[in-house]
Amino acid sequence: MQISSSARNTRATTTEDDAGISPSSAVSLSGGSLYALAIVRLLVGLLWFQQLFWKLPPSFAGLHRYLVEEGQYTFLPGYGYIIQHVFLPNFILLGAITWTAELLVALSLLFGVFTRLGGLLATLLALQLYIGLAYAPGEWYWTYGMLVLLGIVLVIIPSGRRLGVDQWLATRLPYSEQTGRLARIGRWFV
Amino acid sequence: MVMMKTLRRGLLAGLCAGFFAALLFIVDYGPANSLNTVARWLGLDSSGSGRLVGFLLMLLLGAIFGALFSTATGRRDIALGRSLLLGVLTGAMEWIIVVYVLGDLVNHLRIDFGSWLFTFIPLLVYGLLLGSLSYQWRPRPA
Repeated sequence: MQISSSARNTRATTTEDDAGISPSSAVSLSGGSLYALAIVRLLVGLLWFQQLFWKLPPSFAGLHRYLVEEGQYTFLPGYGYIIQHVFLPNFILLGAITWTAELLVALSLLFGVFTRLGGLLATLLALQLYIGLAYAPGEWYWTYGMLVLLGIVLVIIPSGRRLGVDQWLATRLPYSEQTGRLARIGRWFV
Repeated sequence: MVMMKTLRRGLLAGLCAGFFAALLFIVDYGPANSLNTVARWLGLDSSGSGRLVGFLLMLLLGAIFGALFSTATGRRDIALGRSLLLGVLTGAMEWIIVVYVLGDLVNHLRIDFGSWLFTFIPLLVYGLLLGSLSYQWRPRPA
């Protein structure tokens, strides 16, 4: 039971590659590793899932304090101005978008459906948190840094191919040069 | 004999999926305070043993619904997509019977949007894991 992280097959070009001993040959994961990775994915999904409950709609009240903090302590020049003059006056809309995005990340990772897309969205959300909150008082800057790195790992490795819907989707979206652009993009995200 | 094997496979897959679903209720500020909620579904919560009861309940319910799942799929060589779909439906059925009927209607637990989301999604995940594991462990033709 093996899986490659790439949709394309890597063609061996040297004698060492033919013997499968080249330092640059493609890496395959064993069945056990894939299951371990699936459990990691489930728990990261749980991480995002649990964060939905302290900022539930319709008020998204729990989020407000953190948005104010982001406006004060962001290290990115100009971002504080955007938060204070664009995001905070439209807080309910921002809350709805943030909550929905986090719900999508949680569902994607928990169910292993278009997992790499979920990982990408998780990375972007975590990056925004890093920019806004990493240097706020009482925060450890690595908290959000690790969240970004975790998201990147889930973008790189197709972790939904075991214990996830992606295992089924992968067979439904076969790689082919003839398939449409949308199918190819969909294929990459599983 | 074949049916017994199918049932045993469903029980085992349900037990494993129930264990993973229990994990979703263990990782919290408690730890495992959320397992008290699971015990409350059947009116079995107590301050001393609520978490343990909740954990065992997740395993037991997992095994029972796993057996039901295997009975529904029977001896047929089921495709992955159908196995996942039936698994998710089993998870939804578990939510309706255990959380809604027993928890809400019988034990008068209040189900608002937050508690619906908090209980429904993990049980759907249980169902997905059940479908996935059952497919993985199915007997293959020699």
